[in-house]
Amino acid sequence: MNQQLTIEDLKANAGQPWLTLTYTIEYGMVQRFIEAVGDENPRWQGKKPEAPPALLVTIGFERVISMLLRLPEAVLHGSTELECFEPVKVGDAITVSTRVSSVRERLPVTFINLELEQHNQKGVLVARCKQLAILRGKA
Amino acid sequence: MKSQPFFEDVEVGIEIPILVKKPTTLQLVMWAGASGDYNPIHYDKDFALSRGLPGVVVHGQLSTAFLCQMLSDWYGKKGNLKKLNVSYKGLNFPKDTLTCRGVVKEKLAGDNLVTLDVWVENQRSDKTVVGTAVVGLPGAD
Repeated sequence: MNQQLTIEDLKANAGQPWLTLTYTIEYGMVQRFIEAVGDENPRWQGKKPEAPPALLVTIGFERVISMLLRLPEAVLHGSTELECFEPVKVGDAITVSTRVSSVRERLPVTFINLELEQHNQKGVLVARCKQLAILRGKA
Repeated sequence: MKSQPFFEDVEVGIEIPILVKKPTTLQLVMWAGASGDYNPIHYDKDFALSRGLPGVVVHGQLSTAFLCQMLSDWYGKKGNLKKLNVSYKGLNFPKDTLTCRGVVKEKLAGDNLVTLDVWVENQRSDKTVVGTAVVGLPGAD
């Protein structure tokens, strides 16, 4: 899909791989995250902490959101599903594969189902995330 | 720190400790930076109004993070989140008082899994985020 994204592009490419992105889970990333949430659980702190599960719903998705924000419609969030298979720690390199699984229109609203799979540097599936984005156009 | 819950000690129907949050616009900006979600409906009032919203709204995923915090505060060092599924049913706003709640719905022995109904409710008792979570807990022995 090109940079000038349209809903037609999303529909035409539903089911196909979209963005593939790799993130290194850095200490500062985790600390910024827990500070933003106000989560002082020691499990996410220390020398080589775990990444809190909620961090996994954001990585990769922020690029998807930035793509969707190029559309003229208002972007709202409908639902989030997260499955965690393996813990993620600071220092891990997580590759996120994204896919638009379906696009459903009930104008002026469009429902976009997204799937994101996250593998670590060993190729192990660590998490799977499904997101529903709701695009609301003018009636 | 709270004590570690063990699978055997958890009963269906119990409510886990609540978590109360009062998000501010500063927190929304911090969340935008930490999550990378720069949707202007979360920090630009004029933009939010132009999109038919009553004002800036709290990120749905920040509410999800609050629920995750409530769960991890409960399941402790030896527990783990296996699955979380939430729907955003209503809007939350800065200065709202958001209470995260969870009630044990089911236990699956063998795998030591516990399913909970989880939700976020505002100061008017409206459930704005609702869903279910599955957590793994350690066994007592």
